[in-house]
Amino acid sequence: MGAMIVAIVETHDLTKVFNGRKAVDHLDLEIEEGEFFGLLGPNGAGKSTTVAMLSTILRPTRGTVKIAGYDIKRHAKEIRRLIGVVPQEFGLYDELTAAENLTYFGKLHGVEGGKLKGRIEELLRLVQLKDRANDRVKTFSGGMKHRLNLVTGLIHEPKLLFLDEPTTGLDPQARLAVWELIKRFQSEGVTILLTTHYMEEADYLCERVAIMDRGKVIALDSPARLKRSIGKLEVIDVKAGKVTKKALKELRKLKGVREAARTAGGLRVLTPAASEIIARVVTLASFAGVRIDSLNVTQPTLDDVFIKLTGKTLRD
Amino acid sequence: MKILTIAGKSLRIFFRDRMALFWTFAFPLLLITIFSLAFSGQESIDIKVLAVQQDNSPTAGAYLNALDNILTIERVEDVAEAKAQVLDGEVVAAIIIPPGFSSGEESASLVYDESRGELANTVVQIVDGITRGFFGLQTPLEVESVHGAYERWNPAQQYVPGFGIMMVLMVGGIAVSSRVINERKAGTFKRNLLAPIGKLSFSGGEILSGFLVGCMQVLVFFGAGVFVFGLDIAGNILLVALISALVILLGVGLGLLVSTFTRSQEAASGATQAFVFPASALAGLWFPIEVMPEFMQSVAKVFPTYHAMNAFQDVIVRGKGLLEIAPSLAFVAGFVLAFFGLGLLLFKWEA
Repeated sequence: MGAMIVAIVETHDLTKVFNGRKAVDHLDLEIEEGEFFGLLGPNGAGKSTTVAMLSTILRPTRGTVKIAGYDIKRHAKEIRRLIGVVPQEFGLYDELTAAENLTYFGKLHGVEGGKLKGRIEELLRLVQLKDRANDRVKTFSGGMKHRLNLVTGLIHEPKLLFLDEPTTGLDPQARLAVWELIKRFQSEGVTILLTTHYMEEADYLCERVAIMDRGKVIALDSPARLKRSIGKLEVIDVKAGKVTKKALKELRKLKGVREAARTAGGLRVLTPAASEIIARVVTLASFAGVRIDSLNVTQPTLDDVFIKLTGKTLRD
Repeated sequence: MKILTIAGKSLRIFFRDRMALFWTFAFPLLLITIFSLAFSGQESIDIKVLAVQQDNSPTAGAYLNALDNILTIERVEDVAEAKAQVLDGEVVAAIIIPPGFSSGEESASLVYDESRGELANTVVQIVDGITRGFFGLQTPLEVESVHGAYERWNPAQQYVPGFGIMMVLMVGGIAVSSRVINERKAGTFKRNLLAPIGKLSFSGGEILSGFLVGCMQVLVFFGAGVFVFGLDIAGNILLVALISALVILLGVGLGLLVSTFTRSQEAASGATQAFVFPASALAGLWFPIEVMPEFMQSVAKVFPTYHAMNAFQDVIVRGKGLLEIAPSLAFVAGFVLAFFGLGLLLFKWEA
């Protein structure tokens, strides 16, 4: 008999309406214990609202949420003992030292005495802040605050950790360091729910990813399967000047183009045969007055999955 | 015990903020010092003596006119009223001329407040001297001393409770509202709400820390008042503590309320000042209410600060008891309940 899969997060018909607008729209989700799960989507997709409801601080308009079997409406306190949250903003007291911040939040979660002291030492060592334990947080660099913010959510050894855009604003090197740290948390048995709009982050870290747009989950699977789901498509990544709406419309009508979307630095075109349409893309762009700086053919990413499903990029 | 953890955290942050310490303790002490020194040379009392003239003979009239040459004689109708004013410390003495005074059947009586010390002795000597001069050795004057409620006017009686109330409200209002706003902005509020604690523990911890800071302020202000500026407290010191506690709660409640409709520290500070400054200037916290026009004196009564100041003055200056200051306390308590009720009702828990 195989091991029983236990869902630590279960939502059914979860909906949140703000001023008549559905921020989260009939969400059904199951996250298994020990899993690294990602909620991927552009800003405003409903990721943070979902996490706010799952973490008990926002009341759903409709639907149910169970965390480790506890209903959020009736057992919020029990759930808060089981979950840790790393908010996007630092959520630290600048005037307190690193150790004082951890002590305070540890005590609020009922961790006391020797156990708390030991846990603080362990966590500060983990994020290489042990020698700065007694320095006030206001003297820390952004990267140090990021690291302290991460482990503050772990002070009470939660079973389920919510990470809300944990690497926003970090340079690539610091981002990698945070990723390694997060992977370590999971290897210690913590279930992780990551919300991000960085597709590379979801691709690298998550075992399963739910792609959200306008409050709904539009795709849910492992990153590899999601990428495969768009078929044998290739991607033409065009670095270009301003791409007008008209040019994009014309491009989408081009034979062999499955989908096209503007990106921050140009556009991406999804096609079954890149080599056959490259010349046509360049010609069309030139007629439309789009200046092309470079052109690459690449393999699909999660961003391309999103483009195929919505016609937009994740950063739109 | 989570309340203590939360309060402890807020106090620790408070004591590390040098600017906050300056505005909380040093600035009010500076105000008290400046005003107390500026007005310390003043004696605000005229030698006013009340007279009840029940004998309308020319002799009695001439006698009072003789007294009026040196003292300021103010006539009142009623003996009981005259005595009450002496007892209340409003005048130093009253002289009563009974109906049988001019016929020699009755003597005049001088009722004076012995607690006025030198001033009272001076008045007795003046009245005695004029009476002897007027009637010869057989002075038809009986002298009766009472111990009135008057304590020698000391500017500290005005400025310690006056600026004390103002700064406790100011600091309570600004500190509590700013802390809530800062916690919301910094994300720590969210993190607190994510802990397995009740909302009551969180708000209770913040209220407790605000209350403790207020207690420290009151101790510092009254400590300086008593030990540096010679403030005498005629009444029960526990009543001073009780009024102080209500004023501190008023400040914390104000902060809670302000935090519900302001989104920045600047706005919170502005909203607090918009209440505290008029409530201080118009309610007799900066200078005695008696110097203000009558209309403004009635306007002052709508402010809880007026009633708090009144209660402080009743206890400190006039030595009154709990029952006598109860109406003032009830008025302040009503505002405390209103501020807390609205503050907690409108409080935005969702970060």
